[in-house]
Amino acid sequence: MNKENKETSRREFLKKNVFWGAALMISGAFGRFFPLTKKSPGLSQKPGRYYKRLAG
Amino acid sequence: MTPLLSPKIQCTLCPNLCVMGDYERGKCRVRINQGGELFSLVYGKPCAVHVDPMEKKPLYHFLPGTGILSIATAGCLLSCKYCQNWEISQAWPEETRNLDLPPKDVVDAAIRSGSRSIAYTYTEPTVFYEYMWDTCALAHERGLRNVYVTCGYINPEPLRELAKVMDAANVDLKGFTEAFYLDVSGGHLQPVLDAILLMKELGMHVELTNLIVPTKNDDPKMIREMSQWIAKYAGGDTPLHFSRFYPNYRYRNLPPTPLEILVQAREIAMEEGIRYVYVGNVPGSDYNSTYCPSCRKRLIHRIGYEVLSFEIDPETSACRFCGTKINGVWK
Repeated sequence: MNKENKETSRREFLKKNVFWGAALMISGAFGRFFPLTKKSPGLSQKPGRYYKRLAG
Repeated sequence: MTPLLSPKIQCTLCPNLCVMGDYERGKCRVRINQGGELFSLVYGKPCAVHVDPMEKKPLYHFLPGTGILSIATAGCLLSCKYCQNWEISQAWPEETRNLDLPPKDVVDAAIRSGSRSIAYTYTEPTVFYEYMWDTCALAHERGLRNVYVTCGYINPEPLRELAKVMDAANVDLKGFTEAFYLDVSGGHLQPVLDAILLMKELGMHVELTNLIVPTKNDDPKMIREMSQWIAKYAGGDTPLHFSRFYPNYRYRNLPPTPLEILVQAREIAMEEGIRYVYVGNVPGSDYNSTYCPSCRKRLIHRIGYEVLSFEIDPETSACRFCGTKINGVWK
């Protein structure tokens, strides 16, 4: 692939994907601050020992 | 009716005594308040699993020359500025790559690998207390021993419960002043001293490690005071390891510990009556080997983590040359 063709294909790739790339970044940032669930996927939820509830 | 806000809870596992609001975590990053109940986020989710030599823990008086399956999850109770495993100890469990390995699978893996024991190590195992306890209990059922490699930052009640299933511990006694603990580790000294004595009282085999960081805890006066305390309260037959520091985490600006400082520390400790004092993280040093405190003959010849000769009768725990009893678990 010569230099000109390479440049063209890169531009086309960006044109095609820039929208989805930006959407992915925005949704990622949104999800980071407003998660749908507070539970962490992939981690355990095993009841722990040694704690007490505080009044008030 | 569900209250709008769930109650705050206080974790009483370690001396940090973290107070957590709803969905908040403790300093360890892996224990969370969910709806007024405490949950462990790392039960069965180790981020490190390896088979190591026992000498790497370091335990020099406990089944020398055997393999030990070693596990850790993310998280720590302290925040030592020189942490050698900070990538996992100071990480959130979401940041590490975790395996799905329930206690039974850990024990199976240990047996498959030919290990005689399981170590809870690398980070601070107290953070995965429930996972550790259940694994320890299963390991005992299958004839394996358990080793707790810890900073000793645990409250008496959970430690008493843990000692029922734990056989040995290496406690990292990081320094011997409150100021050092506060500045470098973000913890306190006294709870660690209390835990060491309680472990001894509860019958665990205990060895101590002191990692010497140049300019931070290499003061001969402090090393002498620490040695005096060990000899007086923990006992002169408690093995003590002076470990060499290598620049890491937030102390990349400090040099590795000069060998002379480690040797000097060893001499101070022996002057104060500690009989088995080692120099760690220095492969090839003569001070990696175990010598009989009576006849001075070499009983365990070590080079690095390799055990080349062994001159202790495992049945009687006695020196093969003079019969002096050597503290340890040899079989």
